[in-house]
Amino acid sequence: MFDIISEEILKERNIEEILLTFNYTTIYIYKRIQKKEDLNFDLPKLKNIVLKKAFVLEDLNLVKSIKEKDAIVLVNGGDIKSNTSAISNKSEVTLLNPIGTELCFDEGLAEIAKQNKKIIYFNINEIRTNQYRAIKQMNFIIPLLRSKNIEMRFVTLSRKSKDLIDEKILENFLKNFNLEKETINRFLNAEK
Amino acid sequence: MKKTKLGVIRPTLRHKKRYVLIKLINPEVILDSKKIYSVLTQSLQKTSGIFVQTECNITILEIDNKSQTLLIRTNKEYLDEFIGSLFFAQAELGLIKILEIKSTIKKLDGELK
Repeated sequence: MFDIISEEILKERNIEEILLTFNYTTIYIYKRIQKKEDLNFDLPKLKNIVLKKAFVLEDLNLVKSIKEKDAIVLVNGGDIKSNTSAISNKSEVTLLNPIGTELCFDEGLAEIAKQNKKIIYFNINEIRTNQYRAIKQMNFIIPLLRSKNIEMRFVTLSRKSKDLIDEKILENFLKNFNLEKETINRFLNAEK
Repeated sequence: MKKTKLGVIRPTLRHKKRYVLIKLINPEVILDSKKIYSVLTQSLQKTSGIFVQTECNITILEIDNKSQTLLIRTNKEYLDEFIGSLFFAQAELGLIKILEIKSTIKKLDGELK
């Protein structure tokens, strides 16, 4: 299963055991990057799970400083400005969580995302924290992206093991957004 | 008055069921069937509505405190809705892992068999 989680979760006891019960073999660990120096961080080693880096950039100009080819580079969305700048950027930057206080994603942005071959990442735990707002906006954005064949990923960004979600539960939950089983499986089992 | 027997429902007309074996990892509640039942029904009602909740016929068949596993029976037609609703149940029950879904108890390989 594809997922991005916080490095904080790795401090928990028995975390490898828990991750293995959820069938994780590779997992991305994200870190918020405010300045260039933050880019150099080391990941702990787990016996049976491969850990990879994911950067959540606060400043889009930091993209040039990233040298890791294997890493995922994300920019937090949530308002029109950040959603537009992440999607219209020609580099490898992808948009994380386009959900904001009000709907800030439209057909025009979806069209640009398609042209730039972008993948849109959704924080599925947003539904737990901002239930009404997240479901309402995702109900609009997900079918729109699906109609334009834009790739999506659903990640937990878990800070505690409690925030992790079983693949079967997530797969069935995502059916509520009018996605087909095959499409959901493709999104959940993607490598990047 | 002559007694008449109640007719037995033919197998083809019966509601098909599914048996779901669930493991709770680090549960936040004491494994009490009443509490678990109310959490499961409430989360199903939250995601799919009261009509699906009543049709789903959730029954907790067994709770194993040692292995922290639950055996739940649901209506086959609403299995996807039930599994999806566990997304919200996790907030109260703790981490949930679905071990198996089978059509009969006999087919289950889990610890509760």
